[in-house]
Amino acid sequence: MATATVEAPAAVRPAAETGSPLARARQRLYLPFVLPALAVYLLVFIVPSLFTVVLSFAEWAGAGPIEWVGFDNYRRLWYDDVFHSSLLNTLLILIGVGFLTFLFSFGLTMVLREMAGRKFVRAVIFFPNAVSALAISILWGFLFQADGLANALLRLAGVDTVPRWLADDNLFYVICMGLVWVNTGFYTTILMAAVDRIPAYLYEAADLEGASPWQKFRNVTLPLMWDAVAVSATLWAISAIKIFEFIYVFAGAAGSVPTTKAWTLSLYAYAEAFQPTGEARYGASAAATMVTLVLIVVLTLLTRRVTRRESLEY
Amino acid sequence: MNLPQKGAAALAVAVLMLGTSACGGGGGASDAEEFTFWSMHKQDEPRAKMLGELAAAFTKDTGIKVNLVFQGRENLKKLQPTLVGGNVAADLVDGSQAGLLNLLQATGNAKDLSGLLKDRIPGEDKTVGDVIPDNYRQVIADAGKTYMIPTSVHTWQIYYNAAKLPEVAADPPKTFEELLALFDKSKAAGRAALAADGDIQGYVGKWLSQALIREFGPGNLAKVLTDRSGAGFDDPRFLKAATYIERLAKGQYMIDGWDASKFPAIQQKWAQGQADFLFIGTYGPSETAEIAGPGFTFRSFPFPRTEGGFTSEEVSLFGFAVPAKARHAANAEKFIEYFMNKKWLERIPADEKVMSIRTDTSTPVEVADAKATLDSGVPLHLQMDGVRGMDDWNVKIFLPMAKDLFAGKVTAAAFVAKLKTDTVNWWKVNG
Repeated sequence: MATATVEAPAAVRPAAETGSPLARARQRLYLPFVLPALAVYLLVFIVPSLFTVVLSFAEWAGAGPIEWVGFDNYRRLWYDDVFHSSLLNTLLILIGVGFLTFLFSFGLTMVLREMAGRKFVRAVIFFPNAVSALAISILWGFLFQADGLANALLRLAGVDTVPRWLADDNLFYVICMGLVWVNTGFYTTILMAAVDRIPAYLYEAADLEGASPWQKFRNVTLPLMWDAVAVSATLWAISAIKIFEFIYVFAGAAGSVPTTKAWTLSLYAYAEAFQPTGEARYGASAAATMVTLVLIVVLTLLTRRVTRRESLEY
Repeated sequence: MNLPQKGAAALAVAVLMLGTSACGGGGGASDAEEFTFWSMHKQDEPRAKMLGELAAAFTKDTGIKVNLVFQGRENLKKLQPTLVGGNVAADLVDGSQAGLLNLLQATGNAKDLSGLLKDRIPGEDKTVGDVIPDNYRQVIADAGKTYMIPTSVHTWQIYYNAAKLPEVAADPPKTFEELLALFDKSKAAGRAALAADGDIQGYVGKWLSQALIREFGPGNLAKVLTDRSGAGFDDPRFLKAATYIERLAKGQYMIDGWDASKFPAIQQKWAQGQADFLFIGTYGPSETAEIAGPGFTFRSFPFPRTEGGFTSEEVSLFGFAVPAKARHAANAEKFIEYFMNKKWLERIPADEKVMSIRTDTSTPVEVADAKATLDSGVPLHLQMDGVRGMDDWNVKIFLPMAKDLFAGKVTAAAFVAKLKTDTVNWWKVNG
């Protein structure tokens, strides 16, 4: 493989014409290997995405005639208070929940780095991520009921006026707490994997030079784990905007959508497409989805730019 | 080298062809006598057992095979993608009237079953139309088509335990004033008067929508809501209806935690005797019977009269529909006719404690009061007075605001003013 690239630089002599037999064979196999994946990608991703773009300019109940409405669906989003609050909630998850999740993840990474039995602890904190979000959100519902376990413990501790966790005004913040809890384990695991690869002698050298824990983190750990941080931040930006099932199951009841105060963009798109009792509005849903998509692209690019650093070799 | 390459290419082509054929859907129509039924019920529900027996008996009598699939409540959502194109996945579906109307009828995908109404029910002298009471006929017809054949009916009642409150059973409240007096009595006795699972916004909003229809009357509320100028909100009856709910909120009759719990916690508390009354659909008793236990006597009364004087009752129907493009529609229709026989419809009250559409089937004691209300000849109305195309408004504007009113967070006057503004604005972009 290395020989082929060295002997026949593509810019000078195309491999297929005069390259080695291996290069020619690779060239012949290129299409058969790429085509199936390309076809599947086109069929299940690109075509539906293009269809979504087209649909965002139409009104369609999922069956029956499609009626073109121009920018009406987008105009509706502009004037819809619930869309605005859903957008705000999404940003709150992205930034607020993201900040807390990474704060805890960094903290745990630092604590666990030198701790005995850290593999076990890592497995424990990763656990919420391995369990289905459905199961977790149902469990959270029971924990935070008006007379659930959380309030029972608070009462035992002598708190008289316990919080109404699941009231419409508080529900979203409880959801945010849940998201921090579920995601901290995941990102701690990724960050720890990066930290584990940092050679111990760098820390020994830092110790010898009298570095404080913060200095060690700032000057050794963080620069050497930066690639993992950048990937984690991008992963978070994408997944935060798409979070759906945790909120839908936790806050929704018996097939009904949750209070609009807890909606995010993905919940908004779902509720538009699958109106609880009325006609489906796929056009409106597609418009909301397009806004979400643009947001994901912009935020992903932004995250990549902010986290871009020179990669350090060690 | 050559052979594996060809093999890889062949494999790739095979994968592609497989993908294409999978996307294109299965083969054409079969000539076999059969049909496919996607049920809204789940395997572990009493109806599933009954449908299994029914399908077996139907096949035995007619030779038509039933491909019975228990898709659960999402059956219509799952059917929806297959309505596009000519390969609809089911020949028969069951569901709520609203679901069948919006998914099949409104999109031009419901087969007109008017002819079926005139067909004789196998084993009886009656036609299908004979056993569906006349007052439901207008509900199942739209644009000159009969888009569904109903099999069961639900309504809303205020439920209580007659074993604990015999005085209510002897003299149920008839007016809103009497209802509030009753709630005051519960409160004075140190009990929570009313329960409602606040996380289902429709349960709370039903109080207001029912008060509104008591004030305006069926058909008139729909006019108010669909008037894009919002003039109907200035009608004093609107404020009057909202004031009833404001008084309910001010009375502080609700069970503690009603707005900070997860369904079905609060209705279960009611079933355990922690609150006296529960306004719920006639499915309430079957949902709570296990918790309530044998000592609980389910009795109910309708939403009380208000000064408006209207007496109509909300109904929601459940039944069958046949997709317009169903390939075995005739077989599916035969199955519906077979189902409508008293012997089978009797299983709905017997197994599920629910009212069947036929008036000559038995009435479970749990829904006897509701049945008596419907049989008393009161007019019927649908949810939100049957207004169509406003579900978005209902979910985003009406229900959240109705909950705030019910919880005492806003006054009736502020509620009406804001509802008017928001509704007029909603119409501007949704009209």
